[in-house]
Amino acid sequence: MNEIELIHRILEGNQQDFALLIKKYETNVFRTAIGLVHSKEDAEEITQDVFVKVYRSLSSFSGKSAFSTWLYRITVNSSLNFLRKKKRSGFWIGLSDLLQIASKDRAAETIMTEKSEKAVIQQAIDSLPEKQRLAFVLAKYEELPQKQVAEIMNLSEGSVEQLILRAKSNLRKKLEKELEEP
Amino acid sequence: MITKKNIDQLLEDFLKEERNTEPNPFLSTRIMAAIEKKKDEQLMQVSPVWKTAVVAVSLFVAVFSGIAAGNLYQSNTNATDVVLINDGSMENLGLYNQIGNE
Repeated sequence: MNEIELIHRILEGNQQDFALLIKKYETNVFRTAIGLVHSKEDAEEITQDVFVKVYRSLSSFSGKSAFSTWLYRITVNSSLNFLRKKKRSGFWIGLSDLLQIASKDRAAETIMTEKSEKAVIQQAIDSLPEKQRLAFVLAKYEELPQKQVAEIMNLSEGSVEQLILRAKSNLRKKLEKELEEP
Repeated sequence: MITKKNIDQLLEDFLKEERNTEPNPFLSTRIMAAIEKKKDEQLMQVSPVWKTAVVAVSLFVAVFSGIAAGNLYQSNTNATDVVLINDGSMENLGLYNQIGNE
């Protein structure tokens, strides 16, 4: 059964077929989300939210673009909305992190150094301009061809190529500055 | 000293680790349950217009059934009852009036 047939069957009321669609795409949605939020739990929450949205608006899918392109667009928008909401409550999260770090003893220092390296990389990715970050995540996490990234982001292939190059260069600069030994 | 190669390697390791993170095996079940829940909620939801209409009709029915119930009431009092509750009739006043007739 191809994708279009599957979508028709779901729209006819065969809800169990939607489970097949979830199985097929949940990893892609989850991986894109984790690339933007860097947390397994948050990525799972976004994945759930994305599929609920897809189920509710499946009838509005016109089929002009590939289903996966449509799905990636919803995923990217949901992830960005999630990050905006999280940013609003960022103060409290930051405070709780600070308290957690303060309560650790010196034996955990090695783990913290390892974690801080990851945190620096994560922070560097997050600090990229939105378009560069999206292009980088779709190309590097999902390993999508530039053509599809361009379709998802409604840009030309050339622009996407430029965005990815700039993202890589910015990341390198930021990481060199942050990880350089004193 | 951190070299360009080191940075690329660190970045690649980080990406590989995040790429290989597996979602919960029951995620699809959780999603299907969330969809079911949303469907139930939608079925239970009543349009605000209907809510207002139901409240208005209920109020109308309550007021008019009150008025109708009030109008249905009829007093059962009659002349005999009036005599029965007359104190003079309940107590035989004639007994007291016999003083002068002893």
